[in-house]
Amino acid sequence: MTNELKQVVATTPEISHVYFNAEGEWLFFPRKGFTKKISRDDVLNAKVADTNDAPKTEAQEFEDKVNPKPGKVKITKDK
Amino acid sequence: MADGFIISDTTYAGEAASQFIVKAITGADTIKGGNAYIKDGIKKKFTIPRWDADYQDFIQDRQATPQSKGTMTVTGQVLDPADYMIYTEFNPRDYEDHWFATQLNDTLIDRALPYSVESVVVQEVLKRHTKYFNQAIWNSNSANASPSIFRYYDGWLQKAQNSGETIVVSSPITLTAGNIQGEFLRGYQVIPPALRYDPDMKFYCSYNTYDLYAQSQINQTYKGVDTTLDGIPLFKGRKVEKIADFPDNVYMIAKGRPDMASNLWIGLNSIADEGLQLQRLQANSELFFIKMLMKADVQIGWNGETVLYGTALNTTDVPD
Repeated sequence: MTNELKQVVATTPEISHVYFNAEGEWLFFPRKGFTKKISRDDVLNAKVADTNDAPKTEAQEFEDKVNPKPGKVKITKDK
Repeated sequence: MADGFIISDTTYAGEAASQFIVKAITGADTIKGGNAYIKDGIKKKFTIPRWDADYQDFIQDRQATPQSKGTMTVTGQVLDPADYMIYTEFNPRDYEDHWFATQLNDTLIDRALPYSVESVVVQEVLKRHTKYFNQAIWNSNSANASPSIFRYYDGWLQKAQNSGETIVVSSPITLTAGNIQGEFLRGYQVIPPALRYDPDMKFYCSYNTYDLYAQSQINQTYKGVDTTLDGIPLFKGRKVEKIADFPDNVYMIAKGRPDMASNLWIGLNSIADEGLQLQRLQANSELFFIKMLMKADVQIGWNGETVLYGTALNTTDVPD
């Protein structure tokens, strides 16, 4: 469970259930492999896992590269 | 029966411009952009024939007297156009209280719409149908209950969601300018190799999603677009096509062309059906009517060549 998922569910009342697969990935409609069905209330009340130590996906690394957060950009002056 | 005209301006003093001004309205982005093949002339149903075979299935060791090896699968996707219509009655005499009263016929018995009103009515009703149709072909869901006007057939998003073959991007989230490039990349990465570099594979998304992508280009610290320009509607060489009334936080990647090589098909009884009939209601009546009859459906040629990403795919009555 992540904050991003909870945000989507909280802001999208049409979502009645969330379907999870064994890797913890989710969809908002039934699909092969996404067999764990959880109601929106249970999603909203669930505790968010700490993801700080989780390895970054390729997409996250790409995102960090093209949109670095302000603290990550080091500006130096030419002497 | 309600009268189709609600004339609020009946002051009728001084002079008036000779024509109406009209509100801007989005149009048929999907069709104008050459993103779908339109198959018309469908009286009842039309099947899109499909042929497939495994490329390794035909190869075998040489033999003096060979045995057959390899199978070819023939299937079909069906376009089954569903009926809907436009029908509005009105009384031209409503214009007796309006500035355009001077354009009405002299005799009461012949009173039809003033010519400047008639041309606006026909053009603008057609424009509104065009906007509706563009929205319906993506967002319709046959599970919607009456009186929804988005229930006559399943739109492309619903058809993609219903098919188990569609490539679905897992864990969709609320799109922002900060995450949209990464989320687009996740969709790009699951495009089948045979289509990954096909220039007709396009990202279809809403105006809001497109704006987020354009803003993400401006936000880039280096190699960005400056704020005086629109964003570049490309992601890794694939076109990002903004579609009016497309749901937010959703995108679909599909091969869109205006010919039969397209993976997105529209089925109609006839393209010429998109014309309005404007006539007197009946011989003894002052009322007139405008009417249009349409039959439409959409289909996806190969669901397995379509990528779907979305957080709320079932929202249909998308507000303006």
